[in-house]
Amino acid sequence: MGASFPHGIRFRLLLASLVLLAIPALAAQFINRMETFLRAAQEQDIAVTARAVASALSDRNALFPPSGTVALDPEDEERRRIVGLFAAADPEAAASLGTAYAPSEEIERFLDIMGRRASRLWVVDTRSRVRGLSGSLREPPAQRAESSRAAIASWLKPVVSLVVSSPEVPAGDESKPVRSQIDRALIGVSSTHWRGTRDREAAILSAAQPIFVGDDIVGAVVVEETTASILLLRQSALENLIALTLAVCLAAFAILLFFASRLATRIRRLHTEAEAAIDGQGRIRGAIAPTGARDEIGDLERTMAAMLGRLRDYNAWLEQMASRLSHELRTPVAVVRSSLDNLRSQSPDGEARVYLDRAEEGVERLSRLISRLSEGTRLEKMLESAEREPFDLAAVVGGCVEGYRGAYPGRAFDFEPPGGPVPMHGVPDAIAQLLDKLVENALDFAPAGSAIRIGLAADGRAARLSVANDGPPIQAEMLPRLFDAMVTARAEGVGRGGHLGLGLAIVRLVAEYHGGSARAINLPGGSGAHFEVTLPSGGSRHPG
Amino acid sequence: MPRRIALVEDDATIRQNYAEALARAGYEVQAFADRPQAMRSLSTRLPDLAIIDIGLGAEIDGGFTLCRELRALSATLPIIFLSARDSDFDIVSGLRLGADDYLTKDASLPHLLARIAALFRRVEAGREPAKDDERLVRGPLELDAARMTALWHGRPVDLTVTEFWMVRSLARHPGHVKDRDTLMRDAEMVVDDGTITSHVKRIRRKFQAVDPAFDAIETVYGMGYRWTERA
Repeated sequence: MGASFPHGIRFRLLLASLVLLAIPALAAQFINRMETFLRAAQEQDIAVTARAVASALSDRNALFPPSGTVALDPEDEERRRIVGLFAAADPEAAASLGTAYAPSEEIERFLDIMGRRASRLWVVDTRSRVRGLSGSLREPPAQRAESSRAAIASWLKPVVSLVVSSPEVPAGDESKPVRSQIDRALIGVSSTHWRGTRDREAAILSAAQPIFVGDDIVGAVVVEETTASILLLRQSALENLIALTLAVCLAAFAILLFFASRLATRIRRLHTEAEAAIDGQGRIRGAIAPTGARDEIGDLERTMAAMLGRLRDYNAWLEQMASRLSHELRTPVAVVRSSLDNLRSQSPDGEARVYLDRAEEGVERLSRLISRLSEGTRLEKMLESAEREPFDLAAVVGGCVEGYRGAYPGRAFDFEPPGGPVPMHGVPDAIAQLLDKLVENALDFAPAGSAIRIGLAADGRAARLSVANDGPPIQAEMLPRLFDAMVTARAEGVGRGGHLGLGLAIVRLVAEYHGGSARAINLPGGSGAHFEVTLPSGGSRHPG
Repeated sequence: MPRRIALVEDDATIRQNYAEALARAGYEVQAFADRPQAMRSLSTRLPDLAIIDIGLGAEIDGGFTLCRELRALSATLPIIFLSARDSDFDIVSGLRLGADDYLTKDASLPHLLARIAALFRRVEAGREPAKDDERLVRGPLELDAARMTALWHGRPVDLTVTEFWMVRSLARHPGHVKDRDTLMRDAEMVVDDGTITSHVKRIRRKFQAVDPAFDAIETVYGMGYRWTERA
């Protein structure tokens, strides 16, 4: 009944809601697909560009003079190289080429026209000299997002990387195209190639295309682009999606948790109420207050409340049955009794008188039984109107025991009075009646010659009054129901004393009225039965 | 001239049995089955004593109503409730309405006749000089068995016949514990222990109404009651 259930509704709902985590995963997968698609598109695109540039440069002998035919003036070449260097959009790349950079003005002008933003074009001749270089892979600055975004991105990064891995590309030099690709282009194989960069996660996509003059390959065009734009797109999409789905998930979690908690609380409240409503003996002690909620739990509450109400009515009906029965039986008994009285006044002769005596004895017994039937109800009514007073329990018990010794001279009663008074607050008459019933019960079952042991012990807060006898043990399954009305543990008791099992119900009634309890146990070894009543002592007032 | 007793009882057999027994005892009996019938007849001529059942046919508390109506006609008419009900509530209600006694239907006819006779004696005794042998004086208590009256410090205590007999039984031997059976016998009652308890409680209350310090009836738990006299 603790606060946390490892198998509670709340826990299970939360477990079930883990499925929600699939949403960001699906989103990431979608973005991955999108990225693949974008890359493929970019690949196609770049290949087309390369082809276009190559075909534009093809068949222009002037641009690619056959080697050896035109002796290049080294000075002129150096001058052009320096001019090219200054003009180059990517001076770093140009500079790194060193003497391999032999720009041709025409080619470079051409490339500047053909080139596009964020792409780099190379033209390499068959001697691996770079004849033209245009554009740069460097992104224009300030395209990287604002700081708040960056902050979100930075703490989302571990989450993002958990969900999607960046495509694996071999790292490479971003400043120069890949040698092998150029070589392949120079033998007529056009290709696209991915490679990584040193300082960034972005990859470089390059496409190489041979340049023909006639059927001869005179050079190659390499178009390079970074995937930075795709990456950026992917990144922001990922971040957006993941942030959004995470927020949605968290909200869903919170809502689920709230509902689950509410549900669990209401069910637990119902559980507590239901448990408190019926006590161990199956008697109705409390009530279930429906909250008026219009859902299934509300229905359950109402059903249980109604059920409890019907059960209470039925129990009340059962409990009052004895009283009603006795009332109903009194009239016919009165008919018999008054008839017998009238008969007697006719001065019957000897034999008739004997039968008359027997009939009167029977009526007497019947009348006593009937009176016992309603004893519980009458006692309840008496307790309702009784005034509680402080009294000494030891004195009451002592007096009663003296009374029993006088009333049953053939029986022994063992009683060791406690050292001092046992103060109590209650109805002493009712306590005496309680003890009467316990003793009557003990007398019915104790074998002849054995003593009835009456005990009284107090510890300041509670007094324990016990009556034990050496009779046969009580069946174990009867023990908890022994104090219910109309239950008799041993059938032979009914015929003799006319108990109908009401005596012990009265014990329970009085004990509970005083805020105490009654129980019965078998003495070890089947040596008898022990009835014990615990009563709060100390003279303090307690709710009745 | 025989005394006239009105018997109001809805059960025909009981009515006849009681009527015959009362007639045999020398009373003139008028038997009625319900309240309107009884009231019609009794209002024209009051009986000397009325025995009323509480539940009268369809009227659950018809007897109470009848008692009130009769009491309104006469303040002195002795009224006895005879009922199958035995709850304290009914007893108290009946006595509060001005009934002189209350018997459950367990009571035998001799018990009923003893009560009737006692009530008549009480009515009668007012006209005759008191006889000393029927007077009992215990300290502040004075009981007159002839008149069925009790005085406490010279002030009358309004006891029913049953209660009077119980007080008399206790006071006759001060200091002696009277167990419930003895009390029951002396008061001509056929009742159970619980009823004795509530009777004693009512007696105490009636004495306390006259003298709040009254504590002459002592409960001896498990045994019974005892009349104590303080020096």
